Amino acid sequence: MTEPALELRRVTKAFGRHVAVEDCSLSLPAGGILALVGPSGCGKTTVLNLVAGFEQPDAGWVLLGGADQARVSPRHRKLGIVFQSYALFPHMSAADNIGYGLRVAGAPKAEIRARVEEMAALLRIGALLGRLPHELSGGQRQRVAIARALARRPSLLLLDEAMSALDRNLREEVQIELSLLLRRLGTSAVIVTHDQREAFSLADRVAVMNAGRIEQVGTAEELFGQPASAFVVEFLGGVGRLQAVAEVRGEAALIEAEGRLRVTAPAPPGRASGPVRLYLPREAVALRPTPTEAHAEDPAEVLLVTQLGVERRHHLRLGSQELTLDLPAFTDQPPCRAGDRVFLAVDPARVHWFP
Amino acid sequence: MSGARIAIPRGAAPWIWLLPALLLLLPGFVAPILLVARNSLNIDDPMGGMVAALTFANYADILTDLFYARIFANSLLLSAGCALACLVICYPVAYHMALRASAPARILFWLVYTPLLVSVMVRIFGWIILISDTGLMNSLLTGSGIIAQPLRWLYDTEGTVIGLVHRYLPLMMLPLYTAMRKIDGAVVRASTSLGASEWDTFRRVVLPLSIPGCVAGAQLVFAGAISDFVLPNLLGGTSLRLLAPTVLSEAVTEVNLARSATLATLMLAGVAVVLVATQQAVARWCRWAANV
Repeated sequence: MTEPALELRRVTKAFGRHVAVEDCSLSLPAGGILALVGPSGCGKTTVLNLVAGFEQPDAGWVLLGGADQARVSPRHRKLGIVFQSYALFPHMSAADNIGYGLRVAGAPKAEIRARVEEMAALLRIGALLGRLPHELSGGQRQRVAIARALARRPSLLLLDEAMSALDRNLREEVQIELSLLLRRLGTSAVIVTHDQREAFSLADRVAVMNAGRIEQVGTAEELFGQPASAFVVEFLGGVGRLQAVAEVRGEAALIEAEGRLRVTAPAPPGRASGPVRLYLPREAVALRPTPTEAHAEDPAEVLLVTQLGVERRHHLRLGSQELTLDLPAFTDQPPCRAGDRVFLAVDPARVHWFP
Repeated sequence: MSGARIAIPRGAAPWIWLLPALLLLLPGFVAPILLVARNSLNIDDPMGGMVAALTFANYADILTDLFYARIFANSLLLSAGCALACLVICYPVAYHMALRASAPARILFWLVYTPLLVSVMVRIFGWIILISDTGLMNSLLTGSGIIAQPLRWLYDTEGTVIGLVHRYLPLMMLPLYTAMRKIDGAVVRASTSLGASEWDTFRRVVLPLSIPGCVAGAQLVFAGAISDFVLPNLLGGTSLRLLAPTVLSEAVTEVNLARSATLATLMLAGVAVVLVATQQAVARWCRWAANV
């Protein structure tokens, strides 16, 4: 069995009194792609710097290919890093940038040239090799940065918000190419991003970070299907939120909001009765003109409907609470209008609730 | 209405902001240069004063005279040497402060500028105390038996160089430090992560990226040092004749105003050529510099 490409074991890092990363553990199998997502300041970039060796953990271990990196300088970790600003050497041509790692390693000129051309072909920048970074567009610089990071054939590639400077179409194009490229080369990668679309499109698994801790690691299905915390649900978004009261009865809980919405949802072990937050994912809820099983009386009032492309955002008033639901816009149901009275149909198996 | 406004015509607006500078520079800087250039075409009257003329005789005299050629060479080499010395002294400081020191330590960097708070005359007398034959340094060296005879620094070329380097050091530091501060820390980390040693990163990344700063600083020191007549006169000797003191002595002691004006014009042209040439070299070899 091969060692994981990257493993963090109970890593903690503080800057002064600010704990940037607290007791983080994760493991990335060889060839896997992991995305770290979270709001700014959640510690995801610090994790990347700890892996790269630009920071040293206060406690815990960083292992690359099974080997502890505590005494290994960033120079010797043999990682490919794509920086947020690309960090291309401004005085070197694209070719010299890509070949830099091999050049400082003292590789023969012919080998460097062959590798540069190979990388350029993979990233389709063959015609740009003679240009200086300032003569390249943002997308082209991005490709040069990726080619430079991959030229030494690192076993692990780190990308720090590497797409955030690109416009959306270009970003998606580069994401697809990078995804194919990493799979073809069998390179493991850790991607730091605040853009969850990017995280899910590139990575097989996504780690959601909050205030220095990893809240949950999983596939898109796991994160959306069984979120581990209210933070994960809210960070991933696309849910309506209601204050409710839960009454736990064995493996199920009766959750009631505003005395009119009643849902019997599964209760994970350890959940207690009391006030809770009830999350309604878009796939768990629909609006009906007539009473439903969950919502039999006192309909909600539609305050405002805004169009968000293929979805519509419904601002509803349910008793004393306001509820925002993004629902598919173009369905068989007639669209709601402000002033309509509607009942919520809820799929109890798909809702999430947390104390 | 909230009172009258001064109407500034749109087309003239950019010029308005230059007005204070122009009012100072046109009569105080441009006019004297033009007058000196004009004087260089006159003929010196041996009885005193100048005879108005339009002749290049002074230029022909000076440019064919080995005596002046040597003075030009002395000044060029000495000023270039001072620029190099300032670069060598400032480079490690700027490198350390810009790329390695913590933010609080960078305050120390401003110590480089404290000499500017002291008049150049005071600093000259300070150097005289330090480097004269019976001064502090020579007393220490002879007293401790390291040397038998005091070293002759004051009233010789060493004195001039020490004074010039000290005086123009801050002019080297600022552009150098600024150029190094502009180097993106991520670029240095990128180099490290690609396997480069600290020396490789310095040689292949930091040094090339600091070249425009080196050139800018060297230009300032060179231009300052070549036109300085105070320090060579007060700290230097007679063994090495320099251009700026010669311009002064031709004008004041010899009262050869036209010849002095010719030397001054040639010096100005020489400095301009050096500055433009080095600027062109940077523009050519550091094409990236305009976009960093």
